[in-house]
Amino acid sequence: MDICSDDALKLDYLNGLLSEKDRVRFEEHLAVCIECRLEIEGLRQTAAAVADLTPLSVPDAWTAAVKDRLAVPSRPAPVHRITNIFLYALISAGVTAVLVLLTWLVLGGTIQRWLPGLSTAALGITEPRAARIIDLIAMILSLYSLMLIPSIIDNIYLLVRKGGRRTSADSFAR
Amino acid sequence: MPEKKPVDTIQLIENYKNLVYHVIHRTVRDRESHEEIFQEVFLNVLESLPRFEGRSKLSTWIAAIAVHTCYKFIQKSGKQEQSVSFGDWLEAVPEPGVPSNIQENLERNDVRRRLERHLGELSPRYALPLSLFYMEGMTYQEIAEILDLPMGTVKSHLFRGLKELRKKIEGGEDGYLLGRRP
Repeated sequence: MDICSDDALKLDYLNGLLSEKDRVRFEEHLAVCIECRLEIEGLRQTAAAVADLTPLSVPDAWTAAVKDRLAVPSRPAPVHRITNIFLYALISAGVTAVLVLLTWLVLGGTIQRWLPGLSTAALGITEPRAARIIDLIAMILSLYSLMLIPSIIDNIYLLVRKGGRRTSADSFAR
Repeated sequence: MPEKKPVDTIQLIENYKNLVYHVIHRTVRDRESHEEIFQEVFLNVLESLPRFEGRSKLSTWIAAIAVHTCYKFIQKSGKQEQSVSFGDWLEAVPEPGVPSNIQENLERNDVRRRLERHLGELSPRYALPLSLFYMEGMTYQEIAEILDLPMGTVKSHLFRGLKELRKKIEGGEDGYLLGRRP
């Protein structure tokens, strides 16, 4: 390419980014081309003037406002975005119904009637006190499963509706 | 995998506030909106920080978020069509009109402010690379990442930006900004 029209070469020369070989070649051209010499000189002055500009400084009030906004959780940062309340309610009702049914089946003894092999007697636990403890543990586990309902609902909702987006803003160390 | 260290938010804001302001200042004409965008940029940065993989410098990554926040702001404010891509938007932003005489008079005696004004009159596609390169000391590659443009385009914008700026300075009474006598 003609050196006079090679803008990339000129820019790299201005910015001191040419290799030694290219720089020497370009300076040889400058020695014989008055137009390029004048252009480079003008652009060098312009670049120096820009580089010499005082950097912009941010008003203190802006920085303070950002810090305040981050210190106070004023920005709505939901764990996920619920965009379809009907779908969310439907999933909530379904999950709650399933878990309540399961709990009723376990606590009401229906499971034991359907699956007699799961009864404490069938498991070989004949001592009444040990059987009561096993039943108590089963009941506690069943009740504990109820505590998982909100999390289960959230995850099913996010699976069903991909638009639900988790954000990690809350968990980010401030 | 190394465990991510918790980030000092206050320090992060202090370290990058001028860079973010710089990007906003060169990209969005509406000065009234600058503070709002400034806040939005840092909220976006902190929200996205857990996903920062360190493939580029933090300053490059933050500047890219600042540029895209500006772009979204302009889109939201209805100044551009929704279908315009970021690259097209950057190319298409028109150069602003000549400032009012009142503003001109206020700035007449302030050399730096006049040069700043000339820079502000350039299209963002020229003014932003010029600022990032000559004032923020970024490389061609970093600017290309920030603006999501090929490096050749960035170099072309830098060169044309310098030429445009020189033309503006020489075209008025401001030749002395380049070290010449008035």
